[in-house]
Amino acid sequence: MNMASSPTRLLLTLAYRNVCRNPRRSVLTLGAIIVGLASCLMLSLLARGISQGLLDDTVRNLTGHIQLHRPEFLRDPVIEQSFAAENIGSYFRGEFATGIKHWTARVRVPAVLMSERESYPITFLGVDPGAEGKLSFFGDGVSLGRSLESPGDPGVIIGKKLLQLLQTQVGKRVVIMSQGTDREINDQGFRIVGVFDAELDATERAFVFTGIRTAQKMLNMGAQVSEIALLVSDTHTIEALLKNLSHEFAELQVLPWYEIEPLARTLRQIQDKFLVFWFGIVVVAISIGLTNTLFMALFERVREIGLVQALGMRPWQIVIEVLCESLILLVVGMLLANASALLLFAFVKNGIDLSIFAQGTGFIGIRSVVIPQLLPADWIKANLLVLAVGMISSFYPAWKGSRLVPAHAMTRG
Amino acid sequence: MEKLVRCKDVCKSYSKGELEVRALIDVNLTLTNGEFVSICGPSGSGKSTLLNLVGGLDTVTSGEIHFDCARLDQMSAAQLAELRLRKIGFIFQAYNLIPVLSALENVEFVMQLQGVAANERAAKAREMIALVGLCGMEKRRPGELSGGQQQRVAIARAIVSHPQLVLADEPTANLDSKTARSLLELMEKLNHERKITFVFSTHDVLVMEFARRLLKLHDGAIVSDEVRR
Repeated sequence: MNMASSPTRLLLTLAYRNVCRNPRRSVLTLGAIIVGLASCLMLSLLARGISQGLLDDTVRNLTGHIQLHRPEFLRDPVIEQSFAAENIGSYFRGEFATGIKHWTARVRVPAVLMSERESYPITFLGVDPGAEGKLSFFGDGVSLGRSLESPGDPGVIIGKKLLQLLQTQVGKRVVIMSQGTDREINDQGFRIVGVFDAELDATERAFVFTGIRTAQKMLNMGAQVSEIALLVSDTHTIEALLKNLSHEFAELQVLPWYEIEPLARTLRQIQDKFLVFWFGIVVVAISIGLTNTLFMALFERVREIGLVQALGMRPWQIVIEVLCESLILLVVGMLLANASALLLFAFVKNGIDLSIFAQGTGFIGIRSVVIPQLLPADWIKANLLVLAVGMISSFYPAWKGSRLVPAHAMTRG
Repeated sequence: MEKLVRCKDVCKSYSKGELEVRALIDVNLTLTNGEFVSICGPSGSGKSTLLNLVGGLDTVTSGEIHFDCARLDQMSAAQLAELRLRKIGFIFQAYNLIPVLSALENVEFVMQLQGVAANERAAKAREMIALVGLCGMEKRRPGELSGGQQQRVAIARAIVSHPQLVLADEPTANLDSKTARSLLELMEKLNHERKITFVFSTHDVLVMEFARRLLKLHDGAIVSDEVRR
């Protein structure tokens, strides 16, 4: 039996014509599917963009994907928590280089910075400018002056906000005070050689950079460092790398970004849950709308269903015919919803400017410009969910239609 | 003659709220192949109910209905649908056609459910459309046909797959006498030529005139069974 002669073609014809026979109702149902699904897809673009931005900012905000330091360092980041790092570089250049994109060692200590007018608590960082530039926002360069040129560079770079608070300027000298390894407060005068801009004011206020050798010398640390930060080539390998590194550097604590910055992880998890929650609401709304539409359509056609039953249409064929009506509406709705969302993505793919909410977004660590992210997996899931729930919710009215007694159905209405 | 349908002590009751309405009471009836039967009686006498039960469109409250050796009262909904598809044609008083299908597609409907090949199906449907005098109207939807033309399409659909039995529930009720007569003549011709059994329920004297067997129902019971001509 070929397709042309099979009842399948008849069922599809009936389904298509039944969808077309009440255009207003079909258009309204399509509208609900389009608005619901498109809102899911658009929300996914925005949420994934915010989430990716949050991850990028977190990682670039001197966190990296993985950090190694003394076990107590995060709780009490003082100079006593530093460790010797002479041999660590050779590890990362050897077998551990697999999966590691960039790495750097830093000195990171709490300090006080004083200008001739003000003093502020800061985090004092000694960095290798070449390696650090590949790993963090340090690589974005400076907005004023020059960047650090070598690990032994004697100058400091400070944030724009801190420059304003200190009421000083590039070229002027400041004094940095911090405890050295000898437990004495060491201070040293530095010339401000550059100013950096960051997405968040808090970042511009907090960090002051100098060359790592300069910092080690000032703090009498020798070749010791406070932490090592890594960027991985593929974030899916973080867990495996953590395991390997923990094994190799048993005396150090090896932590992923989401344990160093739990707030960022929590924000991403909240976004994921919100997305699922929204998907759920939309899918429930679509299923209720679809069920209602099909019930109305069947209610209007009870006598017709009785007639086709009388003529020999089997109960399962009635179920299939009604499900085909639902499938047509869902597929057309999904195509239009995906097209709408893709169109929107084309318009905003270079970034959505949220700068009018900059204060609020900055407070929760979100950038003022969100680059939407199109994750095919999200789109496939949303489409499959709408399709599956739509078909499942259509089954009940279809089944009810198939259970009508022909003689009773034909006398209704 | 070979027995086609046998009803034994058939009862059918409906509930209307707390009231039970007995539509058929202990009906015993045998129909043989090739008969041209009219069931008459006043409104509410049980004519349509009897036709519905014989056609497997409803289930008995008690009793047995045998159709060509099969027990209708023991069949599932799917089995009844299969029986109707293969062996029974229906003509109803009104709302006879599927509104989203053209006249030709309505005639093809049963054959398409049976899985008849497209070419064969279309040829047979066109032949039937011609037989009922509707050449040139194949593509018209039911809404574009008069009541008489719709009934002709329904007749064409009922007989196109050569069923053993055609059940016609007041087929002339909405037709003028001239159209009614021409349709009855057509069905009588099909009865003669193709040996299809026709059973009508009717108030129409014209239909009774054509019938070769006249059953009278009153208050759900057969009160007379007259074989004529």
